[in-house]
Amino acid sequence: MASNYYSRSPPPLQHPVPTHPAFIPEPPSTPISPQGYQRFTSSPPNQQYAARSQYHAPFQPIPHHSPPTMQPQPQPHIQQHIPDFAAWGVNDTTAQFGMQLGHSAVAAGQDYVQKNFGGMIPVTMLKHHFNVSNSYVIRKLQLVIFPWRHKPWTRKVRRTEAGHTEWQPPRDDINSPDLYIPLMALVTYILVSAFQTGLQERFHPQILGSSATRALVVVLLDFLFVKCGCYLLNVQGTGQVVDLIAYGGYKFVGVILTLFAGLLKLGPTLYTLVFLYAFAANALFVLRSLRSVVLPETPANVGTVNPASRKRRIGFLFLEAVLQVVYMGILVRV
Amino acid sequence: MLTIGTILYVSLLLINAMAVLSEDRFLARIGWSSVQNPNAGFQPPYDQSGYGFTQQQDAGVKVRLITLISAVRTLMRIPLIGLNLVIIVYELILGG
Repeated sequence: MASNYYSRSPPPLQHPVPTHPAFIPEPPSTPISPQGYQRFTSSPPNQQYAARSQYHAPFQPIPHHSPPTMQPQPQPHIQQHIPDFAAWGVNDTTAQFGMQLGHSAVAAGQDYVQKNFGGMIPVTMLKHHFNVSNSYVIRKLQLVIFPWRHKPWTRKVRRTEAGHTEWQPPRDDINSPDLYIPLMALVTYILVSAFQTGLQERFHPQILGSSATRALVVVLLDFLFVKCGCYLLNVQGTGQVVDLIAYGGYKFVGVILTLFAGLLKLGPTLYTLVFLYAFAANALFVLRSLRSVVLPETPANVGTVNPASRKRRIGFLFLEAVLQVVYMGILVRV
Repeated sequence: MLTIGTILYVSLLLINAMAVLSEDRFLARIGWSSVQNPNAGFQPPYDQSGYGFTQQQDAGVKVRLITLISAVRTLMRIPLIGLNLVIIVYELILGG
């Protein structure tokens, strides 16, 4: 039986066996988003959805990496996801009209945002940084906590598409910075610091805001320092803003570990040990990650750095790594 | 406390400090003036002390710092007037 919404008396006791999985209404497809709406959960195989025109977005990997059940099929008809309103007791034409209105409202809103704020947020770059998988997250966390034995730290470059080379997304490249872990670590840090103040009986809702501000200011200061240093030392093509922010966000992982050590009441010496270890791991991670940005290694660029400048850059890298202790010290003082 | 307000105030004061430096009375005295040719004559426009300005690659740290400071001064002269006005009015009325 297709629908279980009988208004009459219920049928005699037979357990209804669904012939197809529960209906998931199709999100409205808008002409603005270049690849249609990406959904990474499995959808029932007999459900067809609209894949709008495939824009030649600069990042092709996202359609390639979607799970194989979601191959975007170029469809001639556009919207097939009109739910069965009649079964819910709503008049069909009214419902359709309402849906059209909703669609046009959403499209108009997106249009407005695109026109006014479209250029400000680098959406493709953000998408690239959130293109992570579970295995990547686990391995990256292991790397942040234990970076001593990792061998190749260079990011992999992707095959050139239409002539320009790009970095591989974090799914394929463990060395690629992402924004998922820093964002989650930031939120976890706020929650853990609030939890700690709660255990010490000095919680106050304002602490959430002040903790968030402190974390954001530390990330901002770190990023400004690296950017300023790169400008002063004339580092060519110094990576993207988003990459630098991502590198700066990994320190929260160590800070959270230290906070946990404090919560478990391990005693002051063990706490200091955990803090120093977290600082050392983070410093090495930052050092190795930024080395590929600051010191050119590809044979094309090696000649542009003369020895005096090279020494200065190495010194700058060490200074940045040492400053991590200051940042982590600020963050740990909940 | 490391609030956004304090960060804003500190950065505003620092930029004010950078904007207030006198070009000819102070910066030229310590050799940090933005680069025009300091020696009139036939001397080459750059020497070996990393003072190179025509070649972008050899521009030393000092030159880039000077360029940064002069750029900030040039750009922020007018907006600083507005920002300072806003902050002063706010502090007078609601500062407490």
